[in-house]
Amino acid sequence: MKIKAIIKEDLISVRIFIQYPTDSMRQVGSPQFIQELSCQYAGHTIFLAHLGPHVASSPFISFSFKGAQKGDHLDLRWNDNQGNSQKKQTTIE
Amino acid sequence: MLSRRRFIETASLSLIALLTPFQAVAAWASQAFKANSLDAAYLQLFNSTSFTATRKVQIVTPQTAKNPNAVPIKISANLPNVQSISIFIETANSPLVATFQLSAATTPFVSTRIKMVKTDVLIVVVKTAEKLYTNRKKISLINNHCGS
Repeated sequence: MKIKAIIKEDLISVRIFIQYPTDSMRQVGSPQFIQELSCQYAGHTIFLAHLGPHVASSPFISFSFKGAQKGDHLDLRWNDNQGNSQKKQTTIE
Repeated sequence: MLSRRRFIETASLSLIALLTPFQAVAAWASQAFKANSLDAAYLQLFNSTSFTATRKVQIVTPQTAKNPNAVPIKISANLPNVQSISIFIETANSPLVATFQLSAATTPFVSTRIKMVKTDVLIVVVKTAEKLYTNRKKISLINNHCGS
């Protein structure tokens, strides 16, 4: 999961790209896709995406929010429909 | 008399009742994604099928998509108190593409990439604290089946 969070004036733009599925996650048969992506700031969910199979297999998602500072942390997490998940923390630049 | 067992049963049921609303919101909206018509998906997500059409919901896409596996779309809503942005493909077997829940700190904007199998209409529904709004945009796919 690649994340870029950049603050410009008071707006934080968050861009997320998830390379999916990786070879270790690839399964034969059932369709695999990322179901959920969430972003937490200061213990609050500020963005929650529910995704279906029409979203590009390696999802790119971008959103923006206000109320955070440069150097603050964001916690991102995704899970797919096969029980795989990943968490990653990023710092606002 | 309330037996010990009965008390425990009642207590755990109340606990389940307390936890359920949160889980219902947090769980992946499987029924809405499974829905095989727009109205069925709308009912699952919004409990309504009546929306106000508005240009305040802006959809930016390429008029013609070059890569059908990653069609870029940008949605913004010039509306107050936006709670969610949902995307549908009009004639897909299961029309719901994605739904994004926003907090009060999040700006009413989202950008993503979607898969399309043919020229179709993208429908966006924006839920505000007051109302449901919609807008639509046709996206054409370059025809790759020219026989060569």
